[in-house]
Amino acid sequence: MIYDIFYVSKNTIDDDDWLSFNKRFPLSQKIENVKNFSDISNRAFTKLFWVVWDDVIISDDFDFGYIVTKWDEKYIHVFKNAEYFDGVALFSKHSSVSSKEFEKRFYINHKKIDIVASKPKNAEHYDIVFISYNEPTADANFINLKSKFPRTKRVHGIKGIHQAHIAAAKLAKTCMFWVVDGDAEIVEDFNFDHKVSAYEQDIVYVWRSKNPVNDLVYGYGGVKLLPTSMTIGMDVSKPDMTTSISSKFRAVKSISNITAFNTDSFNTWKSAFRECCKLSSKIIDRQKSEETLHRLDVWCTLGADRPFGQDAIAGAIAGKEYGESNKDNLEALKKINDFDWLKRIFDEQRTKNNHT
Amino acid sequence: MKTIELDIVFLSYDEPNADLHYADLCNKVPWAKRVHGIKGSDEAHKEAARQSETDWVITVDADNIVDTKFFNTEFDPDQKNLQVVSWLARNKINGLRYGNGGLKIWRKDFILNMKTHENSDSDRGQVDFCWENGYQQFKECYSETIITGSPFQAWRAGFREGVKMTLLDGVRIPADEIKERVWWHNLHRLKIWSTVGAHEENGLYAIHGARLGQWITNCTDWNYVDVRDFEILRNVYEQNINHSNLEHDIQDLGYRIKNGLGFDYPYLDPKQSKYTLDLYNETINLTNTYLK
Repeated sequence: MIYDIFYVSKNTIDDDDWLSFNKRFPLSQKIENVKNFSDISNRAFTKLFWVVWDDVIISDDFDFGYIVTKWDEKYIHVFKNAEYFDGVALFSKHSSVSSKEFEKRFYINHKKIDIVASKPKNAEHYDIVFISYNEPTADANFINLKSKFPRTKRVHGIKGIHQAHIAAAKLAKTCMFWVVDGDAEIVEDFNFDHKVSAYEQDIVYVWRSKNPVNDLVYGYGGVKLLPTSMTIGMDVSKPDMTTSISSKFRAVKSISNITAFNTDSFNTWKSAFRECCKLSSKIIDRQKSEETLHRLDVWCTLGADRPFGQDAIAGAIAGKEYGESNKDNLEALKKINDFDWLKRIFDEQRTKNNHT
Repeated sequence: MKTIELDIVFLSYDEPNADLHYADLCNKVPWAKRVHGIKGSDEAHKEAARQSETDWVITVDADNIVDTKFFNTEFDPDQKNLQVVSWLARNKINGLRYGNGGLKIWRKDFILNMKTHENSDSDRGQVDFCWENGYQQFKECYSETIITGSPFQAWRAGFREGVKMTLLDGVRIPADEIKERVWWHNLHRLKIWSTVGAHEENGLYAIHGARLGQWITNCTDWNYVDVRDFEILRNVYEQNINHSNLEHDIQDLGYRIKNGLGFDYPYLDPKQSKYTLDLYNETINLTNTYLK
């Protein structure tokens, strides 16, 4: 090992972790409470030096023997931390690293080295939070989920979509957390094992779900992976919850669940109303017009023969009309997150239909 | 100050390649933010400023692909009265390199207090930003603008430049004075926009837009201030574009411009267009070689 090795943390380092690391690499030094890159580079005596964050475990066969050629010294060499390049890095003493790069462990002038030098220490997966309100199948869905994934926690009965998700985020102990809706039946091969790199933890990830009434497959009702602290601090004034958390959104093209929302008349109508209101009012950022129109058309026409299919179509048509007529009225649109208001509208429509 | 220390905001409205370009930017700078779908250039920039946590903010227009070398550059924020720093962008279809669509760094307070485009209270500010003395233009180029994601995107880009390049300080002047009074750099850009592009998909739409923009502004009573309103531009596009007769219409606009403004633009077919572009790029590279 010809370069200095620093075992670093933004906080204090666990004694056992340090003893274990230092026993394996006796010349390593630890630096705690690191605030910026110069806190480390100022301590280096060799022209290049290794930085190892205390949240990684070094691979058994990695020995810090990597040698950098003269002409590559200008690059920051980043090594694989299991899947991503956000763990061990080899810096030049003269590297210039901004606070943003340091914070995200993503360096503009990097060179990726395809060697797995480490894996994340917290190899356990992100917390799962099941959010239910009054869905008839919620208890059964939760029991199924909990039996397969015991780390699942539950938030129940909190009024307002945004507030329920904020409560879920507060339950989570991991930097990202999974959200499963109360009507979601998770498909067999979905394992909640996706990991996110240190530099992509400000993105809302949404998997696809299958709609049991009209067979549409897209993000509606799909499992979400949310950044915990951004969810706690989300903008509650916007009607659409996911785009309230972050301007960054990634649709994952695999199916996580069936959104079994057609469990009774009201819940089916409510789900269809909310979704079609969002689609028709275009409150979701970056909606693609043709895709939205197709989905609206399917919601409003298909599935009458499925359980509570008539309610879904009625809710879809009502929601579409409400969204179109209130597309510039934010206060009116925010009402779709108030389930008591939705129940009143549903009851009014039902009474009106019974009279006609 | 290093540019990488600043917040970066990607500005998109309806550009068909915006998602792709934003993904490219996030691969280079994962913390890049995004402002999307806000009507009005002034308001969109204000939202970018509001999202920024740094005193200066970098804006990236949605049609830009950014060169990572940009993030190693530095600028001096302490220069007296400095409000905006701008770099050149290279237009992919016609090779022009100028401030149009280029990367910019703004003083956050300046954006929040400016009144331009839809919020303007001056003639000049109606169609573009007014930087006055607080503007610094670098000659380096760190991004490429790709405006050919759809026929309308290409046409709109050409049309807007066709309108703006004939204005003097943002205001229309008599058509017969344009050649004499408008800065020759702008007339050069107009020449290129009006001729080069047929070799690229949707490139003819950019040429049509540029020709129609200069003609409609200076030879009709069309209100050129509407160039800032993308919905109006959509209507102009739909009223004037005949997809099956594009080449003929471009040549027809050429005759009308020759009669009305005195500019004589040839029609370049795809081969001639590509040859002109290559020659133009080589000339710039050659000039840079000599200057070095």
